[in-house]
Amino acid sequence: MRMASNTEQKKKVNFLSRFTEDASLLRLFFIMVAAFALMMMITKGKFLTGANIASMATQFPEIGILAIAVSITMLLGGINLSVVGIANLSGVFCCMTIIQLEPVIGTWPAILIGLIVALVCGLICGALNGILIAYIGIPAMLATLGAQEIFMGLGIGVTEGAAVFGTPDAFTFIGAGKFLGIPGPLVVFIIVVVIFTILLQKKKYGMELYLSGTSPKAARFSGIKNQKVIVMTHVFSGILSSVAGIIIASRANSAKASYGSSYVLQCLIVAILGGINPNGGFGKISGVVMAILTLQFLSSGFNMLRVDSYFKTFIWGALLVGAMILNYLGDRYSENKKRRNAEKAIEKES
Amino acid sequence: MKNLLKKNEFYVGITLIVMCLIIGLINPVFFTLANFVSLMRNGIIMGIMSFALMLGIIAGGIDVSFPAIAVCAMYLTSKLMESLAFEGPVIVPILMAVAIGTALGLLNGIIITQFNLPAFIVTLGTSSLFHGLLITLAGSKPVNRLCPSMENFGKAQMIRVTSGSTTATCTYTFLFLVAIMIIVHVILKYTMLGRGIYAIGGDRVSAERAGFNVKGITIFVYTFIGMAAGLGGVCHAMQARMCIPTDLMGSEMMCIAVVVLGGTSISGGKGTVIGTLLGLMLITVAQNSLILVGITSIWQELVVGLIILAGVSLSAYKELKNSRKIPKILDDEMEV
Repeated sequence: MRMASNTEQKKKVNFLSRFTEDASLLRLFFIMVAAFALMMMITKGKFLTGANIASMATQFPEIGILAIAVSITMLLGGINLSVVGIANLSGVFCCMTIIQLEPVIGTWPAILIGLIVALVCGLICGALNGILIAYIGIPAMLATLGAQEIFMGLGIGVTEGAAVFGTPDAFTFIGAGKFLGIPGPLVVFIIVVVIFTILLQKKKYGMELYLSGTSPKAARFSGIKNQKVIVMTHVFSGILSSVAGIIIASRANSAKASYGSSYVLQCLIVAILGGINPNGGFGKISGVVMAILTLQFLSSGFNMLRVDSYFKTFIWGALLVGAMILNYLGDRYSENKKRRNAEKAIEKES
Repeated sequence: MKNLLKKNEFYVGITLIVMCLIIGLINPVFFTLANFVSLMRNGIIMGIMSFALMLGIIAGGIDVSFPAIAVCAMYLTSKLMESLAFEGPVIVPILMAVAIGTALGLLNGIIITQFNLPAFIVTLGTSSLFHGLLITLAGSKPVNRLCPSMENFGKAQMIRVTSGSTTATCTYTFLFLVAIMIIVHVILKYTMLGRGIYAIGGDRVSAERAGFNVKGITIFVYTFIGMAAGLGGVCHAMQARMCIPTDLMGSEMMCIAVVVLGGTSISGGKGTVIGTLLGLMLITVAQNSLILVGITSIWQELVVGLIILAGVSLSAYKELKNSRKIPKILDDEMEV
């Protein structure tokens, strides 16, 4: 009997949480549409030209993928501040491998091996993060902060601080190429989104991730190996970062160890705006996708208006703080509503 | 003796001594008085901010916006003094910078407590908000000539040492570092406020039940960090004798490392001034003396990162082992 009521309650909680989550997704959707409309109005329609859409489609995937890399670690209640470091280090190793191997084994095999090297680099970096957090017990924020310093330091040391040039033009097939008329980075982004949506919503790993993020203790008592989940998540995060690194390197046909230091902030903004709860357990990839689109609309619009880059930094900061305050107020509103409904129901019963 | 072995400060101290000995053996220049004074001078700004940041971390929070606050305070102050052609005493610009810092810190505190938001993400947001707004409104042109009083204060030498061919000096800003250290120590050790800061970091709910004004104390902590950041910023400008509005940004990581290396628990509730002082010395030596051992600047970032991670790992691992001991004891008691 008790069991039955428990499962019933669980179902109810599940339904309620899904409902509130959907409400925040809906809110996000409206924000996205509003940003789009605003930029359409300000730029007087120039926003919707083919050239602008194409340039947007090549710009947002790299930050989008990095944001997903941050998001999955945030679902765990942690964070990954080393995504940009991993991306740059992977890009550097990728380019160096290709340059070294091209004269020996030809262009395409060299590129293939370069891509594999980059992904392995991401995997190792992610595993290092995961081990530091899960087995040595360093809080995620500190571990990945220190790791960021190490990855960037290693990249700077290897390249002596200079950019790596001289990869063959064929390497740009990902960053600047098109598949069926769709820009390469967008194709990669769509693949990543599909894979991780399935992984998080349909697979055992996703279930374990959400449970472990909601309450590590409860997860442990229900037989989930938290440490394994942490390492796995950071490995995924590392690999995703290296994918973003490949896109960045391929687009510029070069790599630099200290590229894109402002990306960390943008990734966090996208993740938070996308409804990922920094305390873990709540949030969806679809929210992150909408958030990155919103940010890209604003960013492109501001670029068209030739706004100073520091003004953009200001807007992003304001957006981050504003989005969190809005989320807080929205949550409190829906909670109050729930409580009032419950009180009404009790009154009716009595 | 047993107590000493348990203390985190002990391990940080040992690491520091070993590192100094190694550097000194490779390059004896390290052990000259002039080098010591120049290290002292190089640690001032980071120290002022780290001691304040420690309060935030002990209270279970964190602040990454203090470099932005410092930049706002120093740039607005220098710019205003420049445009007024200010001739008065140095205390006016210092107080102004402190006031700006305090106001911005207060804003942080209010946002964090009123909306119950995670401090890390709020301060990350306000960091770019403050810096972005500053440069958008005030421009990014460096102030090359500070007002005379600030200039003189930065030029004045409190200590001047010549060893061999090198001369090292230390400015009066060092006194601010000492003052902040004493204030933080007194707050933590001898006031109810300090007890409250430890209590909030240890367990927020218990602190609230015990009657501590959690919101008020949290706001105080972030305001104090802002105040110290303002002071640190204006000291930086006076030491450099110019003011560049992109300076200091990115130094938050090092300050966090200083505090955590000194044994302050990142989850809150633990930490001492002595520990942070040792952490400060360790990072300052690592940053400024690697060049003496022949590690070139391109590898410096990697080595500093490794030192930080090694130090943090050591204390985290010890804590992890301690926390695993507790359930065992509980089990034993149950069996009895």
